Amino acid sequence: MTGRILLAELRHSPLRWAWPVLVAIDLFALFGRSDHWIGVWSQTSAAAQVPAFYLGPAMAALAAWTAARRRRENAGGWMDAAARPAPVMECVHLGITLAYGVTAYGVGVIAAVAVTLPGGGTHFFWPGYVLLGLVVIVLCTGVGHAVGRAGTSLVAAPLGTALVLFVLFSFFGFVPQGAEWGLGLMVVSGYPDVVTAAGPMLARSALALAVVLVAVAVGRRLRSTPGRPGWPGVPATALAACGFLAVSVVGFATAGPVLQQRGVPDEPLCTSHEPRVCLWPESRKYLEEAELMSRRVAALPADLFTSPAAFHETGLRGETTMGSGFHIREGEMWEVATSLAIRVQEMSTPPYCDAVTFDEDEKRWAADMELISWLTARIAGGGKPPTVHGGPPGVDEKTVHAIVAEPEEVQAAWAGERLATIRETRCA
Amino acid sequence: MRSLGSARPISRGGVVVRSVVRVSGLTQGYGRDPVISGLDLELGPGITGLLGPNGAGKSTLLRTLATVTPPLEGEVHVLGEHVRSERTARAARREIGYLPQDFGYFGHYSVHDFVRYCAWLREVPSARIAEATRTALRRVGLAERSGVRMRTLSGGMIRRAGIAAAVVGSPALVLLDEPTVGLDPAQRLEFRELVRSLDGSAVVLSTHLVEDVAAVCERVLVLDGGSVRFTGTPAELAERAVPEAPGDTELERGYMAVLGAAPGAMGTTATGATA
Repeated sequence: MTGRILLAELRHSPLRWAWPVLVAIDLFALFGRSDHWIGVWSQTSAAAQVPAFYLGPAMAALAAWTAARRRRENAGGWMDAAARPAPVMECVHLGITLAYGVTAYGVGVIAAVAVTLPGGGTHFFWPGYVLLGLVVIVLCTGVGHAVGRAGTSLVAAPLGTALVLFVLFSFFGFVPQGAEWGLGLMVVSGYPDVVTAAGPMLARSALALAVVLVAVAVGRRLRSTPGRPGWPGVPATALAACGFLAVSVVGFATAGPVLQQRGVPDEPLCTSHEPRVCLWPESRKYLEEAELMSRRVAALPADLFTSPAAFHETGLRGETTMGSGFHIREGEMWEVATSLAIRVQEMSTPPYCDAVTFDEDEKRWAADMELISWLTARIAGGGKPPTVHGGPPGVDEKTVHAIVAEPEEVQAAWAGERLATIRETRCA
Repeated sequence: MRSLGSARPISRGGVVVRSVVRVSGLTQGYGRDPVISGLDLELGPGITGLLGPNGAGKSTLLRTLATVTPPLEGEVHVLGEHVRSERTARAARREIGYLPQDFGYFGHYSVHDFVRYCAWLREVPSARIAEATRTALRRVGLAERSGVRMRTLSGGMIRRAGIAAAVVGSPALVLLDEPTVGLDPAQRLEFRELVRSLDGSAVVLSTHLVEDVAAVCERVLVLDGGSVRFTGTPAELAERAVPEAPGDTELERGYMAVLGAAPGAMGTTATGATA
């Protein structure tokens, strides 16, 4: 019968009017940001999770509003006199709120899967990031429900809760990178070299569950007149929920990073030509472009440039940093070309040293940067796309990129001059 | 101990019950001054009217009997079980149908879903909920309007839906707090018929309206200042009428006389209750 009550609540809940808005928010966050993730399963999973950044605070506001609205309507009087355990009643109401949030999120996930499915290859959907987004939504809904039960404010408390969570997530929600500090509840990108770690994911799931349990089991208003104690006895469920929350917080704090290095694949995806450009199997979408880059590297003047036998996408050889490899950041192949150019440059020039004079240092630096800029344009097959900003410092990129259109011998002469400058720099 | 209720017993779970609810030494209130002090009372099957002026403690008593508010002092027994914890209160609530004075409702619910939800809250067994809901709606005359949204109902209809929610599953004890407020005369007549039909339950009907008590109650309890001023039948209350007491009927004059009399003078009604 509880199922029927749930269905009735689901059918009648005012949140059914908010659901299309939630779906719209989700789809806008999914498709409005970028489309680089389409066709790459790891990125698709991460992209499907990104809307949780917005849906989470929105669900907190809606949960706070619905919980407070029940009190405001005085419908709590029936619940005060109910035989049904209070946590069960609250579970039904919170469950309905969650159902709307989770299904809105689910629509985005299904849409993400649907658009990646045709080109995503055999490596099916990564659940880790989607689960991370689900954790955020459940966590926020639990917080909102608890806030709503604590008062009757229909505007200030819900909006305040959403705002606090939004700011918290903006500053501290994401997986920390480098020296940054973060809660590790969200990711921006789903690089194929890392996966969500089971332990920390379990800790995050437990934390979300604990918040929900506290939200339904603890409450000063339910079944007691404000300022009056309720029936004597140990509130076992509430104490258990609080205990579980304490354990979950400790687990969350000590679980470690939510992302871990992925195992090296048995058969990375490599181009057929030398030098080989090797990718994670998930990056199949970029293989054709990698093949072209490989041919362009091979086509560099052999008497001037030396290329490694292979270029590897980060993590393919078990390394944890980009090092001599490359990242495909948000599908941007220009950056891949830059990484390859730097690697070719390193192989083709003597190791770095301090020049004897400042002038020589400056000249070498300029030659270095111009060469990298030219190599990048050559390997990328043309000028810089408008979506990429910045570049090697002090380089007139337009001029350098125009050289790519010149005959091969003109380019070789231009590059030879720069290489000579670098090679002839006297070390201190 | 003041015992109220008809002589006919009710049966719960195959056990014949004569005392549905019993309170002893009940002190209840919300601030420093108790609203009810040292009240002893026993209710059996039948319809008991709870009369009293505003602030007499009627709603407080009903909330206590409904186990919503734990007593500050004293004991509450429902169907022989001493209610002393959340667990025992929950067990008692399965047998208590309570209509709060100012009850809320989910406006977006249909009448049927609202009553079914209240049955679920009372833990009416799942197998019985559907039939119990239909029966309750039939009893209050809302069977034909069961699909209508609560927010679209008139005040009288909402009261009826509330009563259906209170009586769904045929609880042993039905507590109705000012159920006729806002009803027009025709609706009040219908309501009286409805209350008469609650056979098999102990019904406590809190009201300001002496004529409602006269029409449907077998017993009447007059509460004032948190103390019992009178217990007996409506006829016995009417016998208390004095010519100088205000009122249009003997019962009203009796009620006013009881309220106007000093507690010490109410020897026959104050027994067992601290007046």
